[in-house]
Amino acid sequence: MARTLFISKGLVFAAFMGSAGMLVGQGTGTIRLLVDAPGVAFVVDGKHRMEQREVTLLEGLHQLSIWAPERVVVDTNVFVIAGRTADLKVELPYSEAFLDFKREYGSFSNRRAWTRAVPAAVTGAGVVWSIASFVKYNRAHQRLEDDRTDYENSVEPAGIAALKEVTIPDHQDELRKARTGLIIASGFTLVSAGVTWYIRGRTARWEAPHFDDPEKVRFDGLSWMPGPNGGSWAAGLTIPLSR
Amino acid sequence: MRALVCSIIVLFLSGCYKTELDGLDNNPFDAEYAGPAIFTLASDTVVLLQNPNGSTNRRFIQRIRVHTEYFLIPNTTYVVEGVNGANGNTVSLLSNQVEEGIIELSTDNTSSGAQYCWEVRLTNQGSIGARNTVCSIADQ
Repeated sequence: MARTLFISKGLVFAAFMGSAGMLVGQGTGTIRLLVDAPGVAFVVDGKHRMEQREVTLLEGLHQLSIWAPERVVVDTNVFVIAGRTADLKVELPYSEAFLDFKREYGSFSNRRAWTRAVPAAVTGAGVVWSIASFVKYNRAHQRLEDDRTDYENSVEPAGIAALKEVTIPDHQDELRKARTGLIIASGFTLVSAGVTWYIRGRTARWEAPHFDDPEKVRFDGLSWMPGPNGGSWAAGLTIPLSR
Repeated sequence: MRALVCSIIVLFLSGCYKTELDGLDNNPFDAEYAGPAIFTLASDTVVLLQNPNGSTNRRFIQRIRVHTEYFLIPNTTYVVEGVNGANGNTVSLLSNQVEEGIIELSTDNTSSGAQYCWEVRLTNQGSIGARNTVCSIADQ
């Protein structure tokens, strides 16, 4: 009886020592994440969500789900060796949804840029036309001023008659045409500037494509993290009153 | 954008303010001269001359002032032509023959109390500029 007790005590002690030895033997190692994307986050073993670049884990095999905004969730297994720090270099490819969004946004930006650029270019052409008309108008006016000087400096009646009957009427006609051109050009420019301003206002109200990251939804679903006040479920109802 | 619009409005308005060239008639060498008379009567006098046949010639001398101060370019050479209203005779005088701005035009065999006129023209290089008529009565 006493011997039996001794053996059983010995087994308990061995079991205790064995378990203690296991605990001492299962050390920790560090994984350093090298990811080519900002805002990276990861979930360890489907439970613990983390955002730091270095994580200390118990020795053994772990599953990591790594994600960054606009990228796909990459699942990988790592084996942690106790007392060692290992670099885990991961390239997260862009998600298909983000690439679609990028194409759609690029298309939207191009459409808006062109819609704005065309009237702006027309206005720019109008400005150039107005300036050219103004220069032409000033030249025509200057020619008439030169005619006035010629008239005042002339002492030859025949020359004065030719000036008054031919030269000045021609230059008057040029001035009238230049004035009409200037008024048309500046009026056109004013109208096109107004159209440009209007279109700019309209396109500013165009709704740009919005990116809802489905990979983020998937990644968020991998783990549950309570907030500072715990966690809760919420539901919302939106009634579009504007219609 | 506002600066652009303001500039265009200024351009637009500038198209309205510059006037055309009208009313060019202040050059005495212009046939359509409409300024003050270039030729005015300075004085007149009747001179009695004895003809070889014994008759008397009442020569009416009209001194006419040439208002060169109305010339737009001073010290300009010119020619004055006078056409006698009584007999159509024409007299030409170069500017260097005009002494102290006065030319003398005379009409022979005038009658006392009659009016005698000269159409006086400013000419240069064969064409006629300002002209006006100068008349006075031979009352002596």
